Amino acid sequence: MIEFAGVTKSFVTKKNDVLTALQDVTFAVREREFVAIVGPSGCGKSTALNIIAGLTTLTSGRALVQGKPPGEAKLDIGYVFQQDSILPWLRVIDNIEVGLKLRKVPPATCRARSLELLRTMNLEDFADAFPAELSGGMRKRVALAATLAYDPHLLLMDEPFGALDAQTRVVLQDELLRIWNAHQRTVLFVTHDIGEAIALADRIIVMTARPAQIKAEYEVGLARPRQAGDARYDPRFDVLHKQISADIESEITRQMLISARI
Amino acid sequence: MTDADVLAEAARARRLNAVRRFADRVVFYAVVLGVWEAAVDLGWIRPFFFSSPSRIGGDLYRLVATGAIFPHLAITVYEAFAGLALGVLFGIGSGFIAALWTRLADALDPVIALLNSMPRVAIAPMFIVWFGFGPWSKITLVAVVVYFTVFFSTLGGMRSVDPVLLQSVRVMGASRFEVLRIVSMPFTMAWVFTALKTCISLALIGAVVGEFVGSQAGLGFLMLQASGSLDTTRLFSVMIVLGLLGVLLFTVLQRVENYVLRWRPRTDG
Repeated sequence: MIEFAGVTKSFVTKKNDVLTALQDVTFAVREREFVAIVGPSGCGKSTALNIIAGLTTLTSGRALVQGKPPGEAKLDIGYVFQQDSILPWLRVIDNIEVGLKLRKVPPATCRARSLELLRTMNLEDFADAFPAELSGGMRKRVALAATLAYDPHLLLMDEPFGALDAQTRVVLQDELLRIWNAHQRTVLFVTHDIGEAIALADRIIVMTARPAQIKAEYEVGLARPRQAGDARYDPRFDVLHKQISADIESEITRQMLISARI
Repeated sequence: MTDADVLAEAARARRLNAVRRFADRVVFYAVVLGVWEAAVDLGWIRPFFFSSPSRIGGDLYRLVATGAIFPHLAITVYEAFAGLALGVLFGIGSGFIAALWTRLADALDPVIALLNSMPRVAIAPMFIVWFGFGPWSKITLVAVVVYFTVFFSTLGGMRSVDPVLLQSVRVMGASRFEVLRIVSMPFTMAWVFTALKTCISLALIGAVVGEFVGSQAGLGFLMLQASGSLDTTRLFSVMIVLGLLGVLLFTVLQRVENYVLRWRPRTDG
């Protein structure tokens, strides 16, 4: 489904320095797999998603989505951004229908689908509200609904639940797991919450501090279907959590040493 | 206290505040106008230069009662609105073109900067030569005066669209044109709308200055006439009419804006 072979991405910053976000990154994601990417914040995880979505180019290496260069692959991609990404001038229900209308879905079908998603996301009472009237958590749910509405084949998620309170987060994680179980879409999920990665994913890719390389990969191996809240009671959870934490802590320490030297 | 009591209490406090504010204003204006009137009556200042509230009131009444003001008011409003419409239309159109065709915009940048730095009403005498003493010289002047404000706010709007919104809709499968229609245009229109309030006052300035330079009718023409016959009372009257017109248009536009841009986060309070 997704193949990264020696992908490197460098930017020129405003101060005219070269900043390498990804360096020689190689990994693959299989069809219907749920993969989480964890790593220190600001390490280039989002850059990887942007390359897959065709929003940014790569400097060297090769990236393929369904065997084609990103952007050329004819498949529906859903991208849940870290920041607010819903249109502030559209009501909640119209935001959810943006992707459907782009696909020329008949209005009645659009409405039925968006109402169903509003129920799923517990937003029924806010169908006609503007985003500015909602809390951050609710806006995130609208963004998720807008992404799920057109049933994308590949779901890219960039710390989608990062800004939410613990309860809402578990509810949405469960919702995501339920949807994934029902539809078996491919998911690439970026997070810095190790517990979240273990609870949701089949496989976890750990990235190093910038320039991001792949530090380790772990098979999660918890049974499916899962409940996000239950994963942490599995004995394997602690083992994995410890290992990944150690990986990331060593990276953060290394990063601090590097920046201290500069 | 029940909720209803709390609400009633708050409403009472608001009413009291409003009454107090109104009373303060009445007292303040009464004192200012009274002192002005008294100063003229007692011979401290000369009505020839400063007129007086009663003279201005009487003149305003005559202007309205005889209907003499209305043809001039209509002409000025017509010039301001027609010019505004033209300026907004061209401003938005060329703003979009400049935002999309960046090479053209870069090439024209020095010229635009020069034109924008020029005091725009300076072109008024030229337009009198080109378009004569009728309304068209004023309409074109207003259009030019308004144009740059609209052009720059369109360009500014297009350049400050949140890139995440653009990316988000693009990933959903929108073409470049669809991204423009769904994201860039609505966002930019909000910017332009906010600029329209400035444009209303610019349009009135343009129309009146145009009439000063050369005209046969309009509120500016009326003032020029009054100035020629040293009629300060009439000058005050027409200035008041212009002020009221500006306030009226501004208020209407503010209401429309509050409705059209009701999705914006509230910043008041």
